[in-house]
Amino acid sequence: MPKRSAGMFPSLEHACAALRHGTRQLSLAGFANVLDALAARRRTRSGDTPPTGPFHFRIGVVPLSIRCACVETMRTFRALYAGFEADPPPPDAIQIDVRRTRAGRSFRRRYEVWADGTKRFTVWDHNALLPHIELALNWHIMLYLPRYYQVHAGVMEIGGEGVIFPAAPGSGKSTLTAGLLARGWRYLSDEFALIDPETLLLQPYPKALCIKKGSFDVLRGLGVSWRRRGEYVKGNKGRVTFVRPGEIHPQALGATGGLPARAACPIRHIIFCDYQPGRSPSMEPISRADAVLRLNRQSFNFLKFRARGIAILSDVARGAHCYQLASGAIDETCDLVARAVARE
Amino acid sequence: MNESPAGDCFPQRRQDLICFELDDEAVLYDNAFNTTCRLNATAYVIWKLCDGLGDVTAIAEQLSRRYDVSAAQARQDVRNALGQMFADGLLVRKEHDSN
Repeated sequence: MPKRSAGMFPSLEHACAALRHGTRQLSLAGFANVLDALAARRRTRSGDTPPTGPFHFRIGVVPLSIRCACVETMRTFRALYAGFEADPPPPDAIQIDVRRTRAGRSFRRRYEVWADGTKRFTVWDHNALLPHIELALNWHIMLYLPRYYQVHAGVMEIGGEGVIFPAAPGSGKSTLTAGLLARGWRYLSDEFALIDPETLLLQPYPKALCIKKGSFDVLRGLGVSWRRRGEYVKGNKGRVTFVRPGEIHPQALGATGGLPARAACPIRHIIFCDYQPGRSPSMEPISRADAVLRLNRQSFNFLKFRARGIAILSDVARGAHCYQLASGAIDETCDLVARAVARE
Repeated sequence: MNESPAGDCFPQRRQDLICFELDDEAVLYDNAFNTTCRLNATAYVIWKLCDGLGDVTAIAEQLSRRYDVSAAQARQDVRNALGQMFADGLLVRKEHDSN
């Protein structure tokens, strides 16, 4: 039995084997890991999935299998993505595995977020766990969904026409997305515009909206209930909350006057947004060449696509109206966007 | 700093750049460095006139006729634009033997 560093066992079976070979090889932290692993093994009826998973989802075009040692986080994740469960499990799913371990010296509990067999994050605060699961998932979408040209953007659809809001982090695109969703626009994503290079259609990835603390009042104003709503820590972005699209509008994912849920749609409007509080919102047309350059800057996988990526963006821009939006108060901004889109 | 090209310089478009025309503007893609550059309408016209056969004065004359501006204004605009394009690596200099 090879010696291992204190507390570091890849599985419960390895820990038990170490015990059988002599407890001198097992530190206090190692004992604690064994006890944690035993506690995580729930007695279930045959066929039942334990509360830690694995659970399988298809969120738009993104297949996911997730196992999480924190039962509370797993429960929250399942609630956020109720309606996206996949059965049978997708064969090409991104595998997210959240493991609970203890630090060797301090004995302190921590979580490790693994994605497709690679450890991505170590998380000490369980309030930061859900945002890190989202980060790991986004990271692997960039890596493992390369067939789509990916732009950092909010994505909505109205009347069969796709509208994308490319923007840097903190530009207010998720809040704007929530505001338009409340008005009955169909929600495709608040993070990724996934463009099929062959058809140039937008593919949906309707993840739970991630809203920062500065927009919590906006959410309350849209009628989102705050009763028992979790708030989480997302690194230097501070406190965030996750919102199911259906909490904002019952037809968030489609089928009322627009395209059916999960349908792809063409991009007809490209609106670059930038938020400043207290500003009166305004919207100006920009040239398609300018839009292509700026879309390229917000692309996650331009290195992979290179010249073909510019060709894709050029073809998209030729079929779309392009604007710069200086956004302010949510109602005024949504009014402005809705008028501009309806006019074209 | 952009250095204005000398009068006897014959600017030529780089043939390895990929040009995407959008309305009356263009996006140029440099595959060697994976960089992009946008040309507004006037800059695109000037870039297209850079065929290695005409010098700054010849290009300015064509621009002057197209946009109905004075020859002096056109020469200044062309020099400024060419200086920026050379700095951005969009052009090469083609020196002609004056003899």
